[in-house]
Amino acid sequence: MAVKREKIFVDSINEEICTLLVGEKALSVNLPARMLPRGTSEGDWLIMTLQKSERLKRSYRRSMERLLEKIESNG
Amino acid sequence: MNFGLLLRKYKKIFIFLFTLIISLPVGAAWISRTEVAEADRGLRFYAFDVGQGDSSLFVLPDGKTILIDAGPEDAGKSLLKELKRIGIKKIDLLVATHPHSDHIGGMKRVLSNFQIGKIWDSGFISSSPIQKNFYNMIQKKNIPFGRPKRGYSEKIGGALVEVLAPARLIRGTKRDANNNCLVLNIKYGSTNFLMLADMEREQLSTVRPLPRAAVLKASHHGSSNGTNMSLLKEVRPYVIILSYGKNNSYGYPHKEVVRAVSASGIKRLDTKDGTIRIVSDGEKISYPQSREVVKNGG
Repeated sequence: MAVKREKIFVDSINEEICTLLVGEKALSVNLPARMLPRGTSEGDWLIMTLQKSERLKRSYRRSMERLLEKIESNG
Repeated sequence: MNFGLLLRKYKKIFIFLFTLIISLPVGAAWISRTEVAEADRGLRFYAFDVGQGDSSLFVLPDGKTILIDAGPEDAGKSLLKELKRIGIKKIDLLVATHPHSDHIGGMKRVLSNFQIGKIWDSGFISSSPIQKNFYNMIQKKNIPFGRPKRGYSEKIGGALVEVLAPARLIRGTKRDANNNCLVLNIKYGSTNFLMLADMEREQLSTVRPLPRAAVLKASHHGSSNGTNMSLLKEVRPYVIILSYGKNNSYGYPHKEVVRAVSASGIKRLDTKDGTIRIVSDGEKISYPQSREVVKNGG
């Protein structure tokens, strides 16, 4: 299973938007603050785990194939 | 028709063109002399458009320079271009008001491209990787470094730089980095430029009374946690600068601030539309009236 971890610094949280600095190059990314783990505040470090999921990919593909069939039968 | 005939026929046009070509470089030289003369007789202040962030420059009467913050990293290139356009070759005092990335993200580029006389820092450690890189570069380049506190002042280039905050370490607020900002008042003659960085309510209570100032660089990009009617009544600025990016995700400037500024009759200038330049002769200021925000919107 391909898994990658990135360290993230919580630079600031303003108006429910958080600015995160991702990885060694401190790439700046804005996200809704509600996506952060509970209790996170400015100045905290987080670990982000990125894991490839074949299961999710298959599941989405199946549901979209079903949706496509329905759309085609719309006439 | 040969050239001699042409010359006689269009003599006046040739003389006009010749005069124009000769006068262009002379005119350019006259314009640059005017710029220098202006610097000689006053203080120039620039608030840069760095998107959602903050960066300001003072060119002092004797030519010395103070750069306060450097905006976010992605605006570093445009900040550099602006500094070079103005003709900056050395920064005598570089100030990092606090370690948020929208204020110190561009420091790397500034440190790499300019000779720096000395650095003032808030001294608030946020453990940010950008702040760590900033400190590493200062260490590597062996730049004189200080963490001045409230009460310290220094004469630089014909102006007086007063440190109003931090007065003490503030912990346990929602945004400690903002509440431990380096807040400065730049005094030239009888004109004050009050630079509030991202100071919020908690820190404000430690720096009162604030001085009256001709120019107020509003705190925290026009957020309601940094500017209110009581502060405006205390400082009574002629001009307020709101530093924020076009279409920013935070909704800056806040409506409450916009309303308070408008109700107070203070001239408002926003950085989102480009660099703002204000000149002080020590008694009065001049600012680009065309940039005045007259509507109540952002």
